[in-house]
Parts: sequence; structure tokens; C-alpha cells
Amino acid sequence: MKHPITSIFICAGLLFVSGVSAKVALPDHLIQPSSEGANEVYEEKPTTSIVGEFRTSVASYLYAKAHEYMHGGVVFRAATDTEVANGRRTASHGDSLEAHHGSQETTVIPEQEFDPRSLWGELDRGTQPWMDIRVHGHRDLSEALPLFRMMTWADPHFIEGYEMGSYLVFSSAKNKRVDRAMKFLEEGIANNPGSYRLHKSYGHYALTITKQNELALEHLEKAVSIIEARQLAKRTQRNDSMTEGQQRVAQIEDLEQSQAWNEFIQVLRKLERKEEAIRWSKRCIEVNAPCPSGRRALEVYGVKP
Amino acid sequence: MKQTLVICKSLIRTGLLETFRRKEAWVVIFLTILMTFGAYTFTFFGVSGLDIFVKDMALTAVGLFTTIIGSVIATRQIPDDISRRTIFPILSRPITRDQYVVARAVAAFVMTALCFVMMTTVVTLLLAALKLTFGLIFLQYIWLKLMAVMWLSAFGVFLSVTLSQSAAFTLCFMLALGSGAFSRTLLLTVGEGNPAVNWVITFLYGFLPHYALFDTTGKVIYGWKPIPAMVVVSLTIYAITISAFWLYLATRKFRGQSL
Repeated sequence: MKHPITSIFICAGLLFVSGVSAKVALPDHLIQPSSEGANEVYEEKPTTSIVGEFRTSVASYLYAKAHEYMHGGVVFRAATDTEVANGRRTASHGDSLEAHHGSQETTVIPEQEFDPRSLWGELDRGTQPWMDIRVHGHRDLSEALPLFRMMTWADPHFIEGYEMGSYLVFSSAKNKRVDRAMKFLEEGIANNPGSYRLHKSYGHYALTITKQNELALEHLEKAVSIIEARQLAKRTQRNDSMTEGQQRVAQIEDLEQSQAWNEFIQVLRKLERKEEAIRWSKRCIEVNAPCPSGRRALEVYGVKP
Repeated sequence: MKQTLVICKSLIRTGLLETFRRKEAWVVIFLTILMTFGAYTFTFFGVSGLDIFVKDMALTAVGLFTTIIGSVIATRQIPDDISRRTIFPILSRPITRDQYVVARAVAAFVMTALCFVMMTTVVTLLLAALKLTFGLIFLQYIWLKLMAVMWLSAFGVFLSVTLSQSAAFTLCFMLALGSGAFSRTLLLTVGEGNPAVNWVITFLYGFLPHYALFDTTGKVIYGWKPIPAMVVVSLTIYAITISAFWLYLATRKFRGQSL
């Protein structure tokens, strides 16, 4: 009887020590490499880097799993340019869900006409989850939601997790639970106040769904101010030596930033803040050449770009 | 044939006793329960709707531990007998080396299959207690997994007479666990060839480790419809053929081997 009691006490003691250590160490471990002062912490506490990588890996794994859940276990991958040129099928939806795929995704297990394995390919398609990617459907999206909850717990700085999670909360419910989506984004913004993407998403819901223009303005203005603050660094980073992947990421960033600008100007116009709309439209055109909302605003207000 | 069966029965009995004596089966069952229940514990923190996640973790654990224990059992059968010198009294009886190798492979298959069935039963009961059930496809999953275990046992025994025990285990485990990734990588590398090349690929592809091909976990957890009977029959025929092939190679190798 003596030994079990000793073991229980040792376990309880270890749990206590682990808890205290976690409590003391976690604030450091939550620091991301991009955040202010992170380099100093990483220099002094190597475990921060290791734990940080572990958290990010867990979150990325859960993100990939969530993608799988949405498609009933069918695994997708990016199609190569050669495959696309050869007519390989790429993702398009057979239902109403949009905006969660890259432009060139295909199934890991190829279609019959692109599979050199003949019988083996048939067996693979028979035993593994597989569907025609051209008109693929989605499972009940709410099944993937718990994973977004867990991945943002694992890594509270996982911006994509908050973005996609809030989109799924919004689009999976029959009655479009925008309140829950926005609450999830609020949590993301609290954990990542410097993320223009989360502010942009929040502003988007406020502008287009709940029609809270003042709230939308607050967040879109914040998004644009973050973009403005980072613009110079971005410009110097982009050059010809970037890899294809880096260029693709830069393109997505451009698109996201462009959307933030456009919606910011739209909300200024809705609130009839003419002077500000003109000023920001000019600025938008200056930094973001297409800027359709800015051009439209200037046209409406009779101002030359 | 009858004599081989008698030898198999005897070796299976001793093998099972050894497996339970080493407590391997209990360890994997315990770890499976831990993984399944571990996934379920997220519900205690307010995360609901984790049905698929829990099922995924449960069957992933079953698949992973079946592969581990299958590789361990298959690759230690003959080397253990050689190192303990128990092979000499066995072979001093009126049995051939071929019969011995086949009996060892059958024993490995039965032991791994038993561990797999035990794990599956425990997981099914555990999930049922959590009000999670599988569809009819689960029966096909069990059958195909048993076919995979047959391949694993034959392949493991072949490796164990070819390589050292630790090398055999490592290779067997890696090839079984990574078979899906290897096939996908090959597919990506080859791409779309002309028909003649495709025929060559199709032929050679059959000799690659296809452990993952028998794994229907993905379809089970997402509740897909049962697999077409022709696919199950084809895979059964393939499993028997390829197991016989590896056993043939193992017996050929073991015939001329000095002990």
C-alpha cells in the first residue's frame, strides 16, 4: 500500500511542478518570431523556439486535418503547372461553398485517365476516399469546426485558423451564425492585434453582413493602418530573387491588402465621409494601382486621381 | 500439409504465450485506449462535435500499433529461435526448413491478427460507450486489415531471414508505414507515361509494399458506403499471392542458410 501512495504523491508533485513551469514559461513560449522583442527572448530561451515550432506544427497538422474533414477524407495537393497544362482536373465545387481552395488543387490519387497504374489505381480509388475534384461536395462543415477551436488553442497566432474557422462558423450554420464567427475573430484579434487580415475579415462581416458601418470602419481603418505601417518593408522585400512560392504568397498578400483598401473606402463612402474618402482613395491608388473602389470614389466625387 | 498444420498449431501456441508473456499485446491495447480517450478529453474543455476526430484517432492508433506489433512479431520469429538455439530441437523433428518458415509466418500472422482483433474490439466498445459507431464498411476494414497483416507477416519473415533482426524490423516497419507515401511519390515522379511504360509500371508496382492499399480507415471514419466487392476480392487475391511470393523467397533463402 505504501508504494501506490508514494507514486500518487510523486505524480501530484510532478504535476504541480509542470503546472508552475508552464505558467511561468508559457508567456515566452507564445511569442512569435515576427513579434517585437522576440529575437531577444529566442536568443536567451531556446526552448521557446522549440515549443513554438511544436505548437505551430500541431496547428498546421490540425489545419490539414480540417481540410480533409471537409472533403470526407479526400486528400488534395497542389497541381503542377505541367499537370494543369495536360488537362489534369483541378478543384471546383459542386455545392455552394467557396473560397477555401487554392487555384490549382487536385486529388493526390489521380483520376483514371491520368493514372498510369491501371488496376492498382482502381484499387486505390476503391479503398481510399476519392471523388471527382471538378464537382466535389463538402461534408457537414460543423464537423471540422472543433479542429479550428483546437488549432487556435494550440497556436493562438495561427491567423489562417481564425480566418478559415470564422468563415466556416459563418457558412456552415443554416441561419448564418455571423455573431459566433465575429466572436471567434474577436478572440483572434485579441491574440493578434497586429494582424491586418483579422481586422479586415472582421470589418468585412461588419460591413457586408451585420451592416454595422461604424464598427466596420474601426476595423478596416486599423487594417489599412497596419498595411500602411508595413508597406515600406514589403516593398523592399519583394524582388526578382523570390521563389515561385514566395511570389504566390506575395500575390495573396496583395489581394488581401487590396480588399482591405477597397472595403475601407467603401465604408467611408457609406458613412459619407467625403474628405477622408478622397484622401484615402488617392493614397490607395498611389500604393495599390488597381484600387477600383478608390477610382470609383474619386469619379463619384468628381476628383481627378 | 497436415504435418505443416500441426507444426503451425504448435508454433502459434508457443508464440501466443510468448506475446502475452512479454505483455506486448496489453501495452498496445492500453496505448490505443489512451489515444482514443485522449482525443475524447477535448470534449471536457467545451469542444463538442469531435466524433470524427475521436474515430480518426482510434483507428489511427489501431493501425499504427498493429503495424508496430506486426513488424516486431514477424521479424523476431526466426532470429529469436536462432539466438536461443531453440531452432535445433525444432528442426531435429521430422519437419523441413520450408515447413518451419511457413509455420513461423502463419504463427506471426495469427498472433498479430489476434492483437489487431483485440484492439479493434476494445476500440469498438470504447467508441460505443461514447455513442460513436461505424457503418457496414467496418467489416470490410477488418477483413482487409487482416489481409494486410498476412502480407506484413510474410514480408517480415522474409526480411528476417535476409537481414539482421534489427535491420529487418526497421525496414519492415518503415516500408509498411511509409508504403502510402512511397506509392504517392512514385506516382508523382512517373506522372503520365505512354501505354507501354504504364504496363511496365503496373507490373513492377505490384511488388512494391502496398500495406496502405489495404487500409480503409479514411472511408470508415467518414462513413463512406461499403467498398465494391470486386475491390475486396481483388485485394484478397493480391494479398494471398504476394504473401506466397515473399514466403517462397524466404524459404529459398532459408534452405541454404547456415544456422
